[in-house]
Order: sequence, then C-alpha cells, then structure tokens
Amino acid sequence: MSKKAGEQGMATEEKNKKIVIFGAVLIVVILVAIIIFLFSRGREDEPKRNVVVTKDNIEEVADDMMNQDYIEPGYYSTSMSTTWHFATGDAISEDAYVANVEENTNDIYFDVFLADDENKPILKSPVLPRGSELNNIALDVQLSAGTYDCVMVYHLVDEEQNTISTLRVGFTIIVEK
Amino acid sequence: MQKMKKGIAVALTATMALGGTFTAYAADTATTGSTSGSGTSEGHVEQEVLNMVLPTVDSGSTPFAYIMDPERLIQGTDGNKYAEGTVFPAKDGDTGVYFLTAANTYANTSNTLQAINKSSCDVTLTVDVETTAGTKDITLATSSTPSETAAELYLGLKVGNDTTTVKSDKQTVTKTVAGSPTNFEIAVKNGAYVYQEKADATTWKAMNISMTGAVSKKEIASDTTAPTVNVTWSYAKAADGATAATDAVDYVAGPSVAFTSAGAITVSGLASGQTVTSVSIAYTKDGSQQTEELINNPNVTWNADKTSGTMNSNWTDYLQGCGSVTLTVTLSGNVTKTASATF
Repeated sequence: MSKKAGEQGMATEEKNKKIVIFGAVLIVVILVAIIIFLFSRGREDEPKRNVVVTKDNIEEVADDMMNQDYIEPGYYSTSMSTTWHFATGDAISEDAYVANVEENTNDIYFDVFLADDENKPILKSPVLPRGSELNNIALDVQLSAGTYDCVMVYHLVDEEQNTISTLRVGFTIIVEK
Repeated sequence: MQKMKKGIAVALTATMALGGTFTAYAADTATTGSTSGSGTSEGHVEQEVLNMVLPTVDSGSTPFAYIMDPERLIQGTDGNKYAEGTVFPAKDGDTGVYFLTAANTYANTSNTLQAINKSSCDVTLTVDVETTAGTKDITLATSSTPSETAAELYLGLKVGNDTTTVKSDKQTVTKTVAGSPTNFEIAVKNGAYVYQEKADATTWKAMNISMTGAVSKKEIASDTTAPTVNVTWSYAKAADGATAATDAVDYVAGPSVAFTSAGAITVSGLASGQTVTSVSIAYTKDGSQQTEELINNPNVTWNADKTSGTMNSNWTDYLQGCGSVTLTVTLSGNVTKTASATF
C-alpha cells in the first residue's frame, strides 16, 4: 500500500511539475507577444518606392494601379516658433513652442533632427492632442553653441498612435553658449 | 456817545459796502499747484499671428508618388489591362510618368496642393526638394525634355507659376505669400485681450504646388529604380520690405468641387461629419437640356464616400460637343457646390 501511495505521490509531483513548467512557458509566450505588440505600435510603414514599369512587372503594376485607393490630400495647420533659442545645450528654451491647433484633425507628435543627420532625433515630443501646446522645451541631445538647421517631422496619428501622415518643416535652433 | 455810535455805524456801513467790491489781486508772481492722479495701462496684445497650413504625406507614401513607364507598356496595351473607367492621359502627348489624381485616374501632372498663409503677416515660404536615390536610379534629366538617346526622368516642381527641375541635390524655391490682417480682430477672452482670427474669415492667400513628370521613351533594365522625392517646408515672417508674390491665389475655406473634361470628379474640404448626398450633371445635348444623377450611375466609378469619382468613356464620349457641362454636388447640411467642364 505504502509503495503504491509513494508511486502515486511521485506521479502527482511529476504532474505538478509539468503544470508549473507549462504555466511558466505560457507566461513567457504571452509576455513576448505583448512586447512584440507594444514595439510594433506606432511603427511607420517603410515608405513605398516610386514604381518603374517593366515587362517583368507590368501585370503586377496593372493590378496595383487598378486597386489603388485615391485619398484626398490632407493638410495640417502648423503653429510653432521657427527659431528656438537655448541659453546652453541643456537649457530649457524660453521661446520654443509647438501647438496643435483645434482646427487640425488629429493628435500629433513630432521628432526633431539636425538637417544633415535624420537618423538620430535630437528631440522626441509627447503626443499633443488637438488644442494643446508644448513649451518649456529642452532638447534630448545636448548641442554645442552654434546655429543649427533642423527638420521637424510631424506625425499625425490615430487613436492608437499609429502614424496616418507626416509633414516635414524646417526651422532653426540657436544655442548661445 | 450818540455821535460816536453813529460814526461807528457809518464806518461799518462803508466798510461793508466797499469790502463787497474789493477784488483781491495776488501778487504778480507765478502760482504753483499740483494735482495728481494715477493712470493704468490697458495692456498690450501682440497683433501678429503666424500660421501656415501645409500638405501632409500619407504614411507609407511619398510626396508626389509616381509611376514611371519608359517603355510605354501601359499605353501599349491601350489600357486593356485595366478596369473599365481607369483613365490615362491621351496617347499623343503622354509623357510616361503617372500620378494618381482621382479614383482610377492617372495624369502626367499631380494634383495641385496648396500652402495656405493663415497669418496676419506676410510669410516667406521656402520649399526644399531633393531626391533619395534608389539602388539603380534612372538618370535625372536637366530639362523638361528628357533625352531621346538615353533613358532620363524629368520631374518638375511647380510652385506658383515657376517650375524648378528636381535634381539629386537640394533645390530651393522661395515665395513670399501675403498675409490677411483683415481676417483678425482683437477680442476679450477670459478677461484678457487676444488677437484672433475672425469667425467669418474665409479667404486667405495660398501658393499652388504640383509636380510634372516625363520619361524618355527608351528600353530600360528590369532593375532600374526611380528616385524618391523629399519635400521640406520652412517659413518665417517676411522681412520688412519683402514683396509678396504675384502668383499667389485665393484660398476660400470650406467644401469645393472639381470636375474635368476627362470625367474626374473631386469633392474636397468637407467639414468633419459632412457627407456627399447627391451628385448630378446638367448639359445640353442636341438642343435638349438634360439632367442626370450620377451617384448610382453605372458609368461612374466612385470611392467609398463619394468624394472622388470618374466617368467612364461611355459618359465622356457621349458628352463630347455638349460644351459646358455643370456638375452639382449636394452635401449634408443642404450645402450645394457646382463646377463646370467643357466637353
């Protein structure tokens, strides 16, 4: 009897171990899925290249052209100071502001780049709902004294912060010291 | 005693009579005095608004996205590969570069976009255009007539009345667009003076922008790529003495309708929630005036919200010779807009 009980106990223990392992694996899978989902949100589609028609792709291009949806051009009303002054590279600017005026159709966020390096943003904004304004701006990357040509890339977003459209606006940053 | 009293009475009487007529003259020196009161300033309001409305680029797309067909394969099939109602430029004069300008409608010139100056002051607008190269880009032409001996692509950015050839290095176009100070007023908001746009302001100055393309009619390698166009806007209050461009146009806020002789119908500028409720055309054929409803017409292809439609050749051929044809679009809220095209 005791041997059977012992065997039963071991079987139960074994079963419990499998349940725990399965549960742990399931949790890991769910976490990975969540992480992938979170990082994929808001990621822009890679811009499509302009199409070159050749004998090899004429059928495919024809299909694309027939199925291409026409979307009316969109517009965004910009309201921003076009020259930002910073006393030092890590200071807060007293004259930098960006507003998302009420008449616009979407929330926005923007990234600021140096005009000659659009791979690394020097400022990434929070989401600005319509009717809101961002001021007391400090740069994410400290710049040395000088005058910089910069590009602000606006992203008009939907409720899930996915980019619907973009707009590039050039402006100037001056760091005094 | 009596006499004395009389004398005093006379003296007093005389004093009273004469004293009433005395005028006291001050000594002949300046008088001084002062008065004081406090004043307050009503405050200051900056009477300047800087606001530019600029066109956006759909995610995943590029500014002025185009299709390049150097070998004229699309025209070579007489459009047979395409759905009925797909409109291409006429074969004669087709330049081989196509922009989607309406539902199922392609043209050699893009739709016209606008940079709208909704500022109280003149604004100097700068448009920087440059290309991002692909792996094996076709050569960019230096003039609007691409070479006939080697494959070249011409892209021309038209800003106002001026066209700039797009090149691999950055090209800059600058225009000063007039402001509209009469569209603004001083008002009181939350107890403070503000300088703001009038509620009934509708007309502003804008600069038209479009892209035209042409490609040599030459055979190309199958891995040839087409450069991507990048557009960067910048603007600032115009310097004192800057002259406003004469090729700016009026922009009138609100819905608008466009109708072309190629049968393209476009409704734009709708307010949020505003919809197209009916579309009709009026024309004269063989001396008889006709009106036709188009939303449910089988010879018109529409997008989902009826803001873009294309008449097929059944319509455009039928209307030839009718002269001016008027398109009427009715929007929700009982708003009616019209446009005309000559067939």
